Amino acid sequence: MSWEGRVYSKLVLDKPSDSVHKWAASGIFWEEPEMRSTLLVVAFFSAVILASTAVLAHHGANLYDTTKAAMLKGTITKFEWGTPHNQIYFDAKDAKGEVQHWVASTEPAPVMLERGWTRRSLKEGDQVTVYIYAAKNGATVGNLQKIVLADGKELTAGGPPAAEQPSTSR
Amino acid sequence: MRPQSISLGTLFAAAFFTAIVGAQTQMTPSAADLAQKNFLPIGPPSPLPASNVPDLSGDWALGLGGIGQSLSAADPGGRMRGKEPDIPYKPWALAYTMAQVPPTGPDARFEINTDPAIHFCEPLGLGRIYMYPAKTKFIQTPAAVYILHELGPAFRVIWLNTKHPEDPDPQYWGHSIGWYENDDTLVVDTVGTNDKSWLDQLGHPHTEQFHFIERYKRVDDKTLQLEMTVDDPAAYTAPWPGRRSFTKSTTGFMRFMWVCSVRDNNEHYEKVGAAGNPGQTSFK
Repeated sequence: MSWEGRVYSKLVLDKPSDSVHKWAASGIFWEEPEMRSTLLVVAFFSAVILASTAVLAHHGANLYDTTKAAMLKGTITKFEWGTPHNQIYFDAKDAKGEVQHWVASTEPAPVMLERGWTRRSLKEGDQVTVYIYAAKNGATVGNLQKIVLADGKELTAGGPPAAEQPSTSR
Repeated sequence: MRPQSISLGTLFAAAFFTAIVGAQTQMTPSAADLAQKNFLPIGPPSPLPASNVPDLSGDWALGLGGIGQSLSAADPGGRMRGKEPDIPYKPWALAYTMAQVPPTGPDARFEINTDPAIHFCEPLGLGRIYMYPAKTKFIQTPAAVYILHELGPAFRVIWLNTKHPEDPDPQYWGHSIGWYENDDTLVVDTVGTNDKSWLDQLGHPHTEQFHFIERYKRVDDKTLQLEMTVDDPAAYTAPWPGRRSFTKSTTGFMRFMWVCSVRDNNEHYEKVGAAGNPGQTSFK
């Protein structure tokens, strides 16, 4: 057997918990329906426990007001899912009732997947409550901490402070 | 008086020029630095330790306690840049580190960062690949262990039970060999790197004298611990440690490949960061 053959054997003989095994066995790379509810629970606690806020790490020390999260009620206008970060565009009215266009950033897609998000977590038109570390200079940009959907479902993006922050600025 | 004034001016100019040149030369190792021998033995012990092959299968994610800004074991959060108790800098290495503008962490100024990985998407390289919450996978074969990173993406080949070439060509990931110990640990020994990558987000440098030792220990079914040792006598006066801890992920390796794109980095900055940093950027 060539070494390539041994590599393949190793892959398909991995334990059932190994995702490559799942992929090899079922053609589904990562998703198993019975795991989804578990994943959601895990994702919630992961979001709380896992260090987060790479965006905060990017810009937070001197850009965002990390002392408090602003709460904004608005409507999703676009959700960009990818790297180096996700961008969430939404419209929210300011104190004068004028519509402001906001952009909130989160960690990149591969990290948010670990936290239970998917590229379909938000869609245009969703009514949301956004908790965001907003820019100190008044610009309508910021670092997302949490989004609450109209049905009450929470999508958590933020995490504990800097000591364990990951580095996702690529 | 005039000749004296000119003379003084010339002296000041000379002193200024010397200071600038001096500052510049402090940012790189001297020939004497680069001639230093490594502190630690390179390559496997002889004879090789008897060991069963540990099972490193799984999708390993860096989770709580496994992430951070700095390779320093004493300061993973990067709060003591330049003053880490466990990093024995040579003067040039300290000057180089403090001259960098990190993209993340407590001293971050992303808008004017000096990070080659951000600006050019150069390979993250040894050590720094584990500063991100991305997943890693190990493919074990009798001849080699393939370390796959969904970040980059990048892969490394760890040649088992052999030696380094005599004069390896300097390159980003160097030349790696490995062996197993204690039935639970993969030891990876790397030399032959170039000096272009940072060791972490803070800009800690390494040179072509860099010798890097990684010990991946399978602690239990869900945990993989990594002990790292930086042995670079051209930049540091003694070896120093780094640590990370991986946990098993269930979301799927490479479900989203974490590709570095200069365009994506710039666009993200334009969409979000620039509004908070008007008129100040090192981008474009």
